[in-house]
Amino acid sequence: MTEYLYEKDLRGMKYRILTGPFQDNAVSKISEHFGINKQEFRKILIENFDMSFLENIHARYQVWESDQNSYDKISKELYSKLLTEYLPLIEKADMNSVIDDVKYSIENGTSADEAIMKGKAHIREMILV
Amino acid sequence: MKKTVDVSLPIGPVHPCFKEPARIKCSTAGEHVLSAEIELGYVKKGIERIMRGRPWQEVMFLAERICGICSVIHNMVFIESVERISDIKVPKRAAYLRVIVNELDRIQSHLLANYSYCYTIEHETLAMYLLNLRETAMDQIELITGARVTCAYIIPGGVRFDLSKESEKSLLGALEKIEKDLIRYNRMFESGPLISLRSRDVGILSKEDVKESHAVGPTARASGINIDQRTNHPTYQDLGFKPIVRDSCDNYGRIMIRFDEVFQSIELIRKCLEKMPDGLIRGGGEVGAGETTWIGEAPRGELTYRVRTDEYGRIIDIAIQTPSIMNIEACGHYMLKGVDSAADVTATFISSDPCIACNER
Repeated sequence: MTEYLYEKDLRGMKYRILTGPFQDNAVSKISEHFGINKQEFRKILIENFDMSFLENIHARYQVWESDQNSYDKISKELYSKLLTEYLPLIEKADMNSVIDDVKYSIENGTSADEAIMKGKAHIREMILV
Repeated sequence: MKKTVDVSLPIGPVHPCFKEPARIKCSTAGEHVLSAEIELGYVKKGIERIMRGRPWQEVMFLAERICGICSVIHNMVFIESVERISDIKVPKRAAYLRVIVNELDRIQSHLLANYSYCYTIEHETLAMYLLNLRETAMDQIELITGARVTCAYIIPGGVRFDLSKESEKSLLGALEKIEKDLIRYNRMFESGPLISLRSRDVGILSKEDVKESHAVGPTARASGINIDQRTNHPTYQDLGFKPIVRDSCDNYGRIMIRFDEVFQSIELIRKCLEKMPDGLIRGGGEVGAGETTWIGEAPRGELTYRVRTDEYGRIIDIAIQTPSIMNIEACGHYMLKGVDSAADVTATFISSDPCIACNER
């Protein structure tokens, strides 16, 4: 967005929202899962979303969590729905290519756990870019 | 979020249509709204941190000060959380009295929400009628609890005051007046051609959007989602409560469902008065250590309290998720997206009944 004179720096307020008890819980779980530094992840969220979205992170995370049974193991482990729809940090096409890579690795003899680990590392890179 | 647009149109934080300060930043192409961001933080209280370390006797007063429009439900959900932690039983009469006051609070909140909407679309006559009618409900809250807004009526193990026979008569009379007047106002809203122009098919929130953003309360129920926490509440189950659902997904549906729910609340109060037994309004009990998550249905939707107390009843940890958090986000990112005119932005925002005080708890 263009820098306007009357636009305030919202980082402080956004940070306060993210350190709220419910929001902090969701942020911790996601950052732990992908091995991202929590502060680093907060910074990414602050840069990408507006204040009302950050307030709602916990509710969105809950909805995704309650819907977990409808996904296959790879999608579940890679948080595919969460990161493309509920917390859109990654494009759907990019996520699908990661899922395809993981499936391809498994078909070619790599163990499922190892392939998923690689997929998670790939997603971590995408988030941190 | 970051894209070049024709105009970035800021609305608020101080705006004639807003009851509380919030800023909507719309990206527009001509009149058409492409997307919107909502900027909050003008009245942040940080009340969860203020509550931490204080005894429940102080926190119950703080809890109802989160919101000035739906204070009763904050009081109710916090006290019910504490009761669940300490296994405190509530006498039947007190449980019904809680529902009566909670439903009166819902009536006044819905009438205020619909007043705001009518005022926003410039139907000031209907708006003033509704605001005047709201006073009837407020008077009844004052009659029963002794205060209009922060009444602290609900306490662990019961309620503060009983309902006398005279007050019961006055309450029934007030309900009759609200019902009679509201039938007329409802018809005015339903059949007004200009109201239709400004409301039907404006601010669409689809079922999928509701699920994604976890919108709650009348905002979700107007989009065909059958979600109401009152169905999980023992007293409401006794009353045979069933949620009202509409599926128009637009501003019109969101306002109409609030009218429907006011009629429903009137019926619920009448049922309570019929079924309410004589007896105690306060049992005993002492607040102890424990942790619980308890959800209630506020006028705007589901209200969650996660409370942890120590053996002296002090609050070690508390987390509050208010319904406006979800509804304001759903409004900003789904309803306002693609609105045809910047004039509809405020109307759509108000139709989701945003409570900034709750959001900025």
